[in-house]
Amino acid sequence: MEVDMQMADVNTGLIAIGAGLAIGLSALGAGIAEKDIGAAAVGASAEKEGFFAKGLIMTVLPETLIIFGLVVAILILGLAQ
Amino acid sequence: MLRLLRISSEGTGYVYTNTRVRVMKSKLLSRDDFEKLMKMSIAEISRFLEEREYKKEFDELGRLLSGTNLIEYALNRNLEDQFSSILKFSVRNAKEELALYLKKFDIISIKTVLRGNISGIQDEIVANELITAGSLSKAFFKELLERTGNFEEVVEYLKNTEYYPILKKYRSDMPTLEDELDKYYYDTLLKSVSRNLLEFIKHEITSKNMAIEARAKKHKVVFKKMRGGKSYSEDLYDSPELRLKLRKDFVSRALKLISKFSHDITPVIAYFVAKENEVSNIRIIVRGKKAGLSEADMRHQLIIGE
Amino acid sequence: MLTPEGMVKIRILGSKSQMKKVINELYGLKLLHLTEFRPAENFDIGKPFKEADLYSKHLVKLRSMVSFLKIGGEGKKIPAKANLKKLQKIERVFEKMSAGLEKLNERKAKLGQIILNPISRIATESDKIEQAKSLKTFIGVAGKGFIDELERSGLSYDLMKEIVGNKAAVILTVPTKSAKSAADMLVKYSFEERHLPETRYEEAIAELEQVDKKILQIKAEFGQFRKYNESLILNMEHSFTELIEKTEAPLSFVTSKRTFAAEGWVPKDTYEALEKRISNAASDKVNIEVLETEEAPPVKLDNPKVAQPFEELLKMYSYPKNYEFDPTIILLFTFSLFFGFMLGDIGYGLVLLSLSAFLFFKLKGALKSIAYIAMFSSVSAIIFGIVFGEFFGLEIIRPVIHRAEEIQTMIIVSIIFGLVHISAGLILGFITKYKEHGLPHAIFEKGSWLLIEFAAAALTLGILMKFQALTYSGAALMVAGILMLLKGEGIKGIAELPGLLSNILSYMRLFAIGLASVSLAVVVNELGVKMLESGGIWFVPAIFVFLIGHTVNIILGISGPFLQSLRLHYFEFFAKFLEGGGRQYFPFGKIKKWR
Repeated sequence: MEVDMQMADVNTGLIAIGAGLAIGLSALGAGIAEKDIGAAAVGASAEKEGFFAKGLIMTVLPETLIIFGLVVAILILGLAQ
Repeated sequence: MLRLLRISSEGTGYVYTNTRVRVMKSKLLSRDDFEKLMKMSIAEISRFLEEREYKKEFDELGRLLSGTNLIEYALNRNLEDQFSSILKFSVRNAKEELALYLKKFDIISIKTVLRGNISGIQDEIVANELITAGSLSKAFFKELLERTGNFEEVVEYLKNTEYYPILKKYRSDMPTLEDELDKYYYDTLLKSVSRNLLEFIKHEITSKNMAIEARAKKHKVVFKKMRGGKSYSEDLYDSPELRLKLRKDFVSRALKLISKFSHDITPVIAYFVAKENEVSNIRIIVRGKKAGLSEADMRHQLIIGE
Repeated sequence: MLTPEGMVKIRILGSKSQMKKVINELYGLKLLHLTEFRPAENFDIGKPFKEADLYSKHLVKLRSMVSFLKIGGEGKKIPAKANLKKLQKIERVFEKMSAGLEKLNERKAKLGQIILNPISRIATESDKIEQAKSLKTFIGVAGKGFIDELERSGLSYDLMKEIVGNKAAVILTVPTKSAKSAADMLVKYSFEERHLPETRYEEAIAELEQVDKKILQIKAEFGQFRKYNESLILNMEHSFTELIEKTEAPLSFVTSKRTFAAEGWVPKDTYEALEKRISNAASDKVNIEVLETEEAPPVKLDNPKVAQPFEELLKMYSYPKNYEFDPTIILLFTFSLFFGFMLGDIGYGLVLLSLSAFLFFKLKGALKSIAYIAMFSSVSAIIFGIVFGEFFGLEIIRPVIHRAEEIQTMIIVSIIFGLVHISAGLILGFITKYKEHGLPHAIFEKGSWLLIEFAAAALTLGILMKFQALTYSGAALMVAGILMLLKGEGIKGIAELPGLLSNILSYMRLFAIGLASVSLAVVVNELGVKMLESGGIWFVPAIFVFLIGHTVNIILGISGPFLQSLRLHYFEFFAKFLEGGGRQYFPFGKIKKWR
């Protein structure tokens, strides 16, 4: 993939920021959500090995938020075209 | 910003600790387990417990001990191990509160040592009776037992502890001494404990008061109630039946509190209560068997929260 | 295959004289999943046989031996009674050695304390320290400076001292009248009281050496003990464990003075054979009957050998209830499909294949199953790698679909996967509800969702393709579907409507994670190539970039798709038809692992 090094105009820049925020903020949100779930998952598996897998899955549950962010980012980037 | 992060990270710490304690709750013995225990012999009970959460202690002590000794000492050790491990994985500010609560065991151990001294029980037997889950370590008590002979020496040995003034003041009157130690403990607890726990502690104080009053009435002595407990009617404390029921409700409440979502150490303290109760139940069965109690009598005394 | 095995509940009733024989037979058959009883007014659970006491005694000792000597491995069954005397002998030896070791450890701890106590360098208990009425003695540790201050103080005193590091061990004797000033002075230098030790420092050190030697000796003896008796210990532990299960079986029975009753579940097909065997063993003095019950049976999964390892994935979620579907076979296909779609690289797939094949042959149990699943999924990844034309991110063959560029196509394919998967889940849910509650429930609770799903698809297509008829019929079906849902699940169902959209979009992760994987690989490659093109000393770092970059990408590429594929199955797929909460079928006679 070649990267075009020409100067982009302000509009494109703003669109890029928008896309970046879409993903960045949703990732932040997912991170905050997973914080406590992960703590509980680790705590539970410390006591009983069998909880590990289920705990791991539950911890990554909020990842859906990031996918929505990605979709929005792509749609936004589509506007640049 | 930093403060916000710290608060939220503490919250996560509680999530970790409380989840672990909740899983420990699920490993407690059930009613069905106790029914089975009542039908087993002493050796079978040892084996049964070894197959459960008491494995470490039974494996270690089983090399040298057997019979009821093995069970009694293994139970003590298990309480020590579990409580100190919970203390270890607790959040920073929770540690202080928990350590304060666990001082209960310091007091119990001191009482055991004093009683053992009066009754002339061998040092080694006393040492094994101790549950050193508080701030005073096993090594400390071992030294104490070695270096002291009579009652006075024991009291003097403890002169660097916070209990010394009380010990010195009431050393000629054991029952009062024990009550005063309890009073001191609960007073300290009430002062620094968080709101959620207050109800809980008050309940404990109330049931202790009832026991004191009943005992005092029996021996026709004067007694003083501890502060902080709730008031109760005459007939409540007089009947062991009702006292048993009260204790049952208390334990049931504790079991529920372990699973309740809270951002403090209430689940942990509740677990301590439930675990102590389980150990007490096992002791009732083991000692009951040794004394030849009938199953019905044993079952009656067991406190199994539903 | 798609459902757990059918179970029947049976009751065995007989006279107590036959109990032992029946237990033995049941244990050998390994078919009956016992249900426990709770003692009540009229009946009580049985007491274990007397021998359980003896077996338990030995088991506790055996298991503490196993744990202390760190004996690993499995034992096999041997005649317990025949080896009993031998066992008792080694138990005595073990106890003696343990007691000896215990004593030595205690002594070692004691000596350690003496050595740490600085007073041991000056005096011991047996030294006569002045204890007269007119004198006060202080024994302890203080800062070094104390000694100078004491000399300058002008007090009369008797001092035994020894400097240890930056502290001084002191035994200070002063007349009682100077006691207070001496005490204040000591406090200034952080005085800590100490006791008189048992022996002197030098003797303690020497004795410690001896004790350490003896401890090593005993540890060596334990090593020998373990070598000679390892297999006996393991085998006796195994044998006694089996015996305990048999002798404590009455705890799961109901007994009266002369009779006993056992209840439990057996697989439907095995009932006849079991009935014959038990009746024979008990000389026909027992009564075996099938019970009609509403209770939920334990669950025995019934899958062909090829699919069995995938049961691990199901177990990690929950056991299905007996009447629900067993999606293991479906997992076999769709899990590896999704995994491969997301990883989609020939090179990475090959790495995973070799790794998991190696682990498959080395590991046992649940981990072996995971390795099997990994092997299966890696093949899928290789196939998709061919479709996407990727080999460690490089385009070595002409791709059928180019992942990083044909984004629209990828999104559409992901959504189609989603629609198919969810529809399959809803259909399974429909069938389950039909079996459980009949056709009306099935239609209103699950059929409604299916209708809404297709209505939405029709609606969307109609709008996109500007096909009026499709749009209108889609809308109409949607309304019908929502009304059905309202009847079937009430307001709760309506509240979950957006959830359907979120579920379908969730499948976008199939494309998203794949894109991330490719992009990272491409970046690594471009960076490395640029470095190589610069020539000269850039060669070595370039190799690092390739190695580390692709290793990281492989790790992400294995964990990501694995977890996400699993998550899609658990939360988008299973939720449509699997409630779970079944308990595992564990027949009497199957070995429990306590360690």
